[in-house]
Amino acid sequence: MQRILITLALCLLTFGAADANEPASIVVIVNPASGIDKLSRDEVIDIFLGRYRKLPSGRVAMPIDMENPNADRARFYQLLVNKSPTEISSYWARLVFSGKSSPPFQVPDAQTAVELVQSNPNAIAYVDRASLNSRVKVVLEIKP
Amino acid sequence: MKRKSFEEPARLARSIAVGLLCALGLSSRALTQDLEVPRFSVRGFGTLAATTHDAEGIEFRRSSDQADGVGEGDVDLATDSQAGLQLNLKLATHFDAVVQGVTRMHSDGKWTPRVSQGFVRYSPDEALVIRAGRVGYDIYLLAESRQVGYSYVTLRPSLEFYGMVTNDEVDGADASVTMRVGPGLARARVFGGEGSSDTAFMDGTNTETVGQVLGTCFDYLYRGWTARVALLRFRFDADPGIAPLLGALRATGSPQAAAIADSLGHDEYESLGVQLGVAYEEGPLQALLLYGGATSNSIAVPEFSKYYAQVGYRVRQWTPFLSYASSRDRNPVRGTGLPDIPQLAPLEAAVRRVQLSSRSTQHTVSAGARFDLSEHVDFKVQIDRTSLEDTSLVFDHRNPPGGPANMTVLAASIDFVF
Repeated sequence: MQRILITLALCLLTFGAADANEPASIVVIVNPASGIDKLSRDEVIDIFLGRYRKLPSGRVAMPIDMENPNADRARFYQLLVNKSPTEISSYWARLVFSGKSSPPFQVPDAQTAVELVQSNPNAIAYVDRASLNSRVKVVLEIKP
Repeated sequence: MKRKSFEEPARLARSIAVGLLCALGLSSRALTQDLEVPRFSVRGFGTLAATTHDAEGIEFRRSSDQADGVGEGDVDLATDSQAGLQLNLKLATHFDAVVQGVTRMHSDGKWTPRVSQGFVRYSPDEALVIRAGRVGYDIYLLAESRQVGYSYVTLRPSLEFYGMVTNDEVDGADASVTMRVGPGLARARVFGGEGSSDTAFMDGTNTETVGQVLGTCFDYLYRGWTARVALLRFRFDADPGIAPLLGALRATGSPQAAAIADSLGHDEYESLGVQLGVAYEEGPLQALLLYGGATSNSIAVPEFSKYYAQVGYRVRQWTPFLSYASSRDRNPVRGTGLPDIPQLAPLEAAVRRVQLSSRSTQHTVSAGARFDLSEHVDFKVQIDRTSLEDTSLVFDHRNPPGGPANMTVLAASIDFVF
């Protein structure tokens, strides 16, 4: 019995350690007045890669990106499309210099992104779950 | 062929840009839907490349509008190098403007900067985009613009597929509509206006053919997949200077020579092209398959089939790649069928010259790697093994010229954007 308890305790410690090391998921947030409750992964890809920015509500999304270098930015694009920051930069060079689209508006940190989403019904941003507050709405969670 | 200078629209676009800047005043930022976005921005791009090859008597060019190529064993910095600057202006909520200038070697051998894009864009809701001015058209599936080396994996676009396309913009307008269809996005685009094609010849001369371009392009995008069908029509006036040749051919009384004259004797030449493409780009893998074909109403305008396959795979900062490209003229060079006598030789030579100036039968296997030095700079190396059969993409100085040849081209480049 004692051996079983020790094994269970070790297992719990192992899970606890794994949780502590595992990075929090990235969440995609919008203004509560945006008129949308959720977005699919494909819709978020289309918005942040400049393919199509019309939201299901009919509004035109205004994506907000983090300035590079930024760990959340790198993780967001890695999780979303498995691309590195340099690949994203190369991708935008295609669109910008062919006059097709403009890259997302960039802000220095998550706090600024959240503040912009709070004040703009068209804004859409991504932040680490730890940066959330109650004045923005989560429409997609991207887990590692 | 109708000749026209680029300078007039270039001046026009510059004037528009200056006027817009004045109208916007000194403010550099604008409030758009509560977000303070930059009102204007300046961006740039460039490629510095060194190119060499091993084929005796051949000058290698990047495209048929380059006045000079690199000779055997020489190291040339002009062939694959270029630079550009772009100004973006936010005019109002749904309006913006773009002016882009590019410097590279042209058909006259000069590096005079030219306006490659200059348009005003209206986009009320992102689903509809209308542009008017000098706009590019869709012939590049993964890269959108061949001038920006940083935006694609290979060192240069395929010669076989793009070497004969010398100007990929029109002075006119385009409109595109994007909508959700099934699980992905469908995009349709139409464009039209005045386009041009430059050609530089081995004897140092060059021509600029100006005509009417009309095209349409349909894309379907789903996750990492992009599929494309594009159609293009290019019409341009026949060169009035060809009339004496037509008269001489008909005067011979030979049915075959008369048929040649009929094929050359259109008031207007027309080329119809189609492009089919599939690209996959997700995670570290990037792959591309393209087919292009064209028919025409005259032997003076090439009819061809082109194929291109490319695959690259990113490993950390490295992206090694392989590609294969093939271009084949559909029709053999037609002769007059006239007796082989000195008096008729100039006639035969003139007919052959008209056809040979746009031949592109060759194929290339390429391998290389891209190394991302930073978020805005990369370094590339590429080696190409090209089999030349019947092509004007290179300058052939062999004596006698023509005939099959193999060449290995080696190049290294640094691309940057800012």
